[in-house]
Amino acid sequence: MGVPSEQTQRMLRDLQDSTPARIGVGRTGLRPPINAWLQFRQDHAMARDAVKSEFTQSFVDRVKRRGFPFIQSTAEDKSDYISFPPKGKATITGKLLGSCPTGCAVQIVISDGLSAQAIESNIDDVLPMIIDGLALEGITCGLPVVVRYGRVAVADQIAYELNSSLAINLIGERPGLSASDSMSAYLTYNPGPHTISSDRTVVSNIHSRGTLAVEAGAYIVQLAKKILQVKLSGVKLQQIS
Amino acid sequence: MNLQPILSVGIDVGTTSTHLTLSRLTLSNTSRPNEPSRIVIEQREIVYQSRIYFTPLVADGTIDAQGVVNILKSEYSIAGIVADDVATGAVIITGETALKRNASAIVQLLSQLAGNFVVASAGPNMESVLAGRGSGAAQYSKSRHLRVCNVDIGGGTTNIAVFDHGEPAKTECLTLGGRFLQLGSDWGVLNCTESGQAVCLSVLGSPLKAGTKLDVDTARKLCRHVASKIVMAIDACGPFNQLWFSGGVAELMQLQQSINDIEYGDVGVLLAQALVEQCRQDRVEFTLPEMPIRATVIGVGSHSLQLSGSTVAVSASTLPLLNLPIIRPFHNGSTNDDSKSDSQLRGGIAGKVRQCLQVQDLVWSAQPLALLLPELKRMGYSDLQEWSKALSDVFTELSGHQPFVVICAHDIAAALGQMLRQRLPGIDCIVLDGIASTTGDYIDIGELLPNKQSIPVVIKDFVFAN
Repeated sequence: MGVPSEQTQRMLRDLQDSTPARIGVGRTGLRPPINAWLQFRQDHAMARDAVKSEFTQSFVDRVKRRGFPFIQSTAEDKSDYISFPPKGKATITGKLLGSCPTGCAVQIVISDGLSAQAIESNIDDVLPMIIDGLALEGITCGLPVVVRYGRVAVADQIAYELNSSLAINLIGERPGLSASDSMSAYLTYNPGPHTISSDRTVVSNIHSRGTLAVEAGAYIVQLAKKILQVKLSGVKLQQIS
Repeated sequence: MNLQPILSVGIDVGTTSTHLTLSRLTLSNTSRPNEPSRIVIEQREIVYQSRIYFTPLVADGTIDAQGVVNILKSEYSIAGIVADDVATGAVIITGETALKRNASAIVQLLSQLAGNFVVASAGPNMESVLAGRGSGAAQYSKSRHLRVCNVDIGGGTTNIAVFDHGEPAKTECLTLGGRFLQLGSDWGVLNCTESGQAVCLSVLGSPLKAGTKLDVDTARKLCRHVASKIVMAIDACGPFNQLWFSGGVAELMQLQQSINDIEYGDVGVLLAQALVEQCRQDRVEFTLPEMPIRATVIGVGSHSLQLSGSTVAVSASTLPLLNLPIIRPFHNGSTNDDSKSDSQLRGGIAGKVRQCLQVQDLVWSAQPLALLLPELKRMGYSDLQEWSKALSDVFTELSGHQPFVVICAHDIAAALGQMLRQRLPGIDCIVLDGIASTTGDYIDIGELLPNKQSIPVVIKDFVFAN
């Protein structure tokens, strides 16, 4: 095989720069070259670690220092959580009613979801943006609640019982091979036991190589403002946009 | 989301010719689902081209304002549109016509009559870039991963731009074009431009007086000299992979049938022939786009507009904002200093801004400005708070005129905008991002498009003094 021309090399570099996907890695016989193979193994390992990750002790300490309630879903441990999704969707909210303000327009919930790492990497950038922004818009916001082993739907229950109009669940996404620290924000208007998936509006791929956490935070504020104005989220909101 | 295509007009009032094109710009959201939208111009389709007029001039040498306005009105009528149909566009006055006394007034008048956000653009570097975009050289360089040099040769000027990955890497301009020497049908000299006279001095030893009769060989000699000057300027812009020619003279380079040497009352034909010969001698291959003479006007109409992403709430009365000077307090010369940390870049911001204002002769309390942010290494919440504090402090300290306009190199407009609004209550802050090309000294900011997501923006070299 000849040496590729300068133009071909540029083309390949441009193509590779345009996507995080593994293109043009080359081959050795029928297999990928060793570097490509090792990179793939590493990314896969990082994704698996992210799924298994738990909130670190230092994170839990910081949450407690901020005064945010820290509760657990009805899943008993990580393995229970992964094996039985419905357990992550429910929690005991009794204690919250005493310590959290009720009747706010927005209730923020922070869940590990399928990557506690994603929350730990991004929460310090996204949460203050949302809190600042909602205050600037004059939208009341309750005390953020942190849930261990929480699924998306757990925010519906918490917001419902705290009597909020809009639930925002900041949750770790299932990691992929290109990002293990990516999180999403799920916004649900009028959350409750009746809520189904199509009622939710999601902002995804929030991480340092995707939508920057600070920008996502500001975007979420404007989205929340719009949702509260039109009183719709999810598919119904898309239909009027 | 309303992503209706928008109609854009390009009007080129050149040294020799004036013409107009209408383009349909198709918008598209390039972000993935569940991400903030990123609206870009996906396609540019020429839907109408006017015929080419000689630029109307009055006896005293100024542009015939009424003549140009009549051209505009009659072309709109033929195209079947009214100014309100036109969402955006640009008027450009190029070459020597730009130096005429009333150029500024003409441009303002045309831009008002032509449509909603039709800006008056100008600048030789900008012309070179727009010609290169209009000819297709820029897109070619992007899609084929090549460096392409576009040389636009009109009546009065030659504008060179080299594109790499679709963006301008280098520009160069010469005040020589096909009309450096105007001749009557008897080959008597009618006019020779200043730059043309310099050529005559070099080649003939003396300037040419009006009325002198030229023979074809002398005329060819002069053109060969100009051709070699152009080629030298092209070489100085190298290296590149492909050479393209556009403009009126380029049209003449592809003529198959023979044509009267002084067909247009100037040496344009001879210059074209000299260039073809020079390239053949140097064994330089070149490409001509489909419609060479239209390159600049297509660029002006279709490519001068960029779309900014911005979700910052702006009161309707603030926009459009025209002719805002751009200042770059964080840029060392023309490029970023990669070795500096973000806090080093930010340090002494007041002093850096003051220096820009002084160099560009601007008073911030008298007019709004656009401040260009550098590329940032860190964009977390606390990092951006540092920036928003520095920016709001300097705005207050220097009594900046509202609105406060900031252009970001990264997609952080919504975040920075929110922080600035928090720190500067009551001040209109406009933060823009998603602008790929920020070369230029002035920016025009239009009103929110019907999709309510994007703001049209034109960045240009200079404005005419009023």
